[in-house]
Amino acid sequence: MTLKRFRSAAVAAVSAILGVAAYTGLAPVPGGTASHREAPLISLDPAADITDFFMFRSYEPGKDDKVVMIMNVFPGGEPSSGPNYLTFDQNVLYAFYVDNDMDGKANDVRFEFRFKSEVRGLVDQFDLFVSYLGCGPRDLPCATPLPPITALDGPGSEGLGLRQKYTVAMVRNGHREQLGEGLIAVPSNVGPSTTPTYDSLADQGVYTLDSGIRTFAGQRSDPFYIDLGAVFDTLNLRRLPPLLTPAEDANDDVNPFGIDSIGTFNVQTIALEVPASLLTVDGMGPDETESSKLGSYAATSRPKVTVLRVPKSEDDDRGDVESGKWVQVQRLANPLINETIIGTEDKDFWNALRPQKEEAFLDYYLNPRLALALQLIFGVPAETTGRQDLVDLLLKYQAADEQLSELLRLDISVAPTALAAQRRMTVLATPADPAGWPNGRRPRDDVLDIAVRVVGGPNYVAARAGDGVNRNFRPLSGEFPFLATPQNGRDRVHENPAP
Amino acid sequence: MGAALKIGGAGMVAAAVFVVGAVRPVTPIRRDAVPSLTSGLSARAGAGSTAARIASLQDGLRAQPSDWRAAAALGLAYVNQARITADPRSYPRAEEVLRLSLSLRRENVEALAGMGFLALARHDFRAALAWGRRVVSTNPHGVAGYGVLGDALVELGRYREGFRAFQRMADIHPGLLAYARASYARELQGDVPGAIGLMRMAEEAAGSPEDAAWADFELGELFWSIGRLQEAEASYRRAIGRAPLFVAPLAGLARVSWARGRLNEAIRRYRRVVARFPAPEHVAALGDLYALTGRHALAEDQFALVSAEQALFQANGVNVDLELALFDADHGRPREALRSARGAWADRKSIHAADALAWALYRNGRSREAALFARRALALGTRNALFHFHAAMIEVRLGHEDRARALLSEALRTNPNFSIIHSPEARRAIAGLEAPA
Repeated sequence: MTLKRFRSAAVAAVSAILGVAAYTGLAPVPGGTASHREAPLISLDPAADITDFFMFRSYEPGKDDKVVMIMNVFPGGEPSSGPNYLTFDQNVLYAFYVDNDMDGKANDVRFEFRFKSEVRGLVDQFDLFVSYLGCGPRDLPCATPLPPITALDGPGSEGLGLRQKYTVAMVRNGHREQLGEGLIAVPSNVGPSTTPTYDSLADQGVYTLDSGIRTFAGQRSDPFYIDLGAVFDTLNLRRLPPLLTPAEDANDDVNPFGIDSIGTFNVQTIALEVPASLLTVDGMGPDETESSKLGSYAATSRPKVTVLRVPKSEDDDRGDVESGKWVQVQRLANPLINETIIGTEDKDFWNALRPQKEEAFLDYYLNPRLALALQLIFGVPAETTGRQDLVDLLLKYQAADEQLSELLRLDISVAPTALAAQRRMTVLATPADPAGWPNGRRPRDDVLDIAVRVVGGPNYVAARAGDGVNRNFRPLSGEFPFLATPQNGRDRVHENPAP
Repeated sequence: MGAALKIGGAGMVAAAVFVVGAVRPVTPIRRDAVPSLTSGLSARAGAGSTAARIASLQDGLRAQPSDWRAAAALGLAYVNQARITADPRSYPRAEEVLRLSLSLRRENVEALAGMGFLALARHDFRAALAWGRRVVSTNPHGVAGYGVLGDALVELGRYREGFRAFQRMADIHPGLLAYARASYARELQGDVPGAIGLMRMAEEAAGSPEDAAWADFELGELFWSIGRLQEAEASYRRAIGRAPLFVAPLAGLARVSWARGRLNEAIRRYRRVVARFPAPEHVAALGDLYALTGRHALAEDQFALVSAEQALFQANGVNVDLELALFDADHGRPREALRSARGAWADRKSIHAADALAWALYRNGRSREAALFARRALALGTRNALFHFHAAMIEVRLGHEDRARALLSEALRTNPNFSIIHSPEARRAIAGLEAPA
């Protein structure tokens, strides 16, 4: 056969392939074939990816008998793409686990969240490939009047096409109790036309359940604040050491030199407020309990599936893929452990294990790579080996403990600090604010600066090391669910360095 | 500041800052400390499109050319890009940066897995198996190695070992990667409802529009394979809505048009597919449609193009034996078909290779031998309608009418539209069998 027989289009097609081969000098390949599945090899799992876990005694006025737990998933949610992708996963079990008897095993109380999606309202009616619809106030009014989304259910919810409902269950002393069902997750803040009254919409997503428990699920602004751009650029901070001046370090309201590259994005939040007495081993409140120290973590799990087909009977061709068991996909207790302590090659392994197996990763704590990195970049000696202090701080309730468990530890007998009085450097601040990380963790706590100084050692404390971001991009709230309202997709801004 | 460091009620002293004694000199440190720190934080950056990820990784690598992790990640992103857009120009780029990564750091899991993934994409399954073993022995707790290993074993027809690797993957880290593979395993075993359920879980777990689109397309293929046209069409449409550059679902829609008897629409759609990427399977389908509508000159042009493309791939060291065998068998080149099919069978003992060899033998009039391989093609329990059709025609030739009738009706019941050229043939054959002798 010869190329001459081809018509021009066919010739062009072949030359395109030839051109590629000639240009690169390497083999072209067929683009997919029926006989080979070509599944991807790497894939992010944002719906199960926990960015942060917070646990603190409530600092909302009149609520100091409550403990709040918050987990955020879906890192880096770009506000403008919220409607399409930012939802909870129906196959993920989202849960908080609590240890209340200091044995290092967070199996005493747990709270489980499961989500279900439905397509409904106008979107379903018109069979549209969108999640949300609404014509609120806008310069160019819609030709067809579509009510904006102002309610999670009933009138005003017609445009809420993709709606997620969830259940909350508590498992305590082996006893399982359904706390709530049919609860509705707050959708993304789409924009002024679709979700014009977003704050009130989000308020509708705060549910009060039996036993004085409150819950919220939905979009919030990412409370983590960090100059990620500078950190990625080989810790190329925007100022040379000694970094923050004493005055800057003491001012929690101004970013002295960093850019909060995370705070302009959104996350999916699950927040739970429970009476402390439901968590303590003796059932007493924060000021009465004899056992005020709690350890906890958040985790996401996915169903265990079986690859081999097990036919139940001759005419049973239904897929029997789920075994009813769960596999833990990710866990999070203290911040930055997964990111800066555990080595990349061990992350899957680490995430799959329960916190009480932390001994397997002891070397990472004793010889923290973050300390090495700091020393390498800044030339300022850091404590790189033999860090028993970190082991004691992060893996134990007290130095004498033999059980090593990576849990976020909260002593609920410590009085909460009102939001306005909270100090980002917590125990390192002057005066100290003892109600923040590593005593639990609040959204306000500057865990990056604290971690850099604690892991770096005295030279980094003296240098007031930090990324120059001292506050969250969006103001935090002093009330449940405490995190800031997410930016809306249409009018969102991202922060850039001053020219 | 010493006293201030006592952590109040928790009673924990942040001794971290104090146990450190005098300032010590800087000691030599591991060179990978910084990249591993920053890559650890990369999950914070969130999910973007593959194109955006490639751009940012390119920037990163330019700024820090010795960052072996960034090089490996870029290599993987390139392979992913090629897989999604059906544009192979990313494969050579992938190999270049993956080898760069391995030269910067030997036995690094990311680049080893990337090389395995690349070998899979290029149908070099033996090489992929070797890379997969290296990944698993370097990091037995990671999920990627079992993916490469399982994919290679399954393509080589070593199903038991392959499925075991997939199960390990699902046990370590369930998610899109494991669900998609479990889905394929179920499909191969004939459990299409199970495969659909798992692929739905994969779609839900997708971390990017492209991954979700890929899962949607595969869902479409699964629905198509059991004749559920409407659900197939909806899945293809969803895939296109999510990743407009992804060509494969458009070919799926073209097939749906054909199945509904809208031949001109099918041809129009296939022409758009072929204009964007002339993958041999799409060009061949367009040719079949031209032939079906009596435009034989146009059809011949497409078939010639397919052969030229296949030759070009082979000349560049890409293994297309299996694809070539089936194409040649159905387009008047039985001897070439048999040669390719034997090559494919020598390379891998998969049910696909068995089916191709059976069909090539049949086309060469060697039905008794063909029947042995046709049985092997069906041994795993697959419901693949084309395999059943192939086996049926061989049985017809051998005079086994009952078995032929059962296989034909199974093929047509599973998917009445399994092949542009063979579906009508299957209907004719079954009518012929049912006619009184």
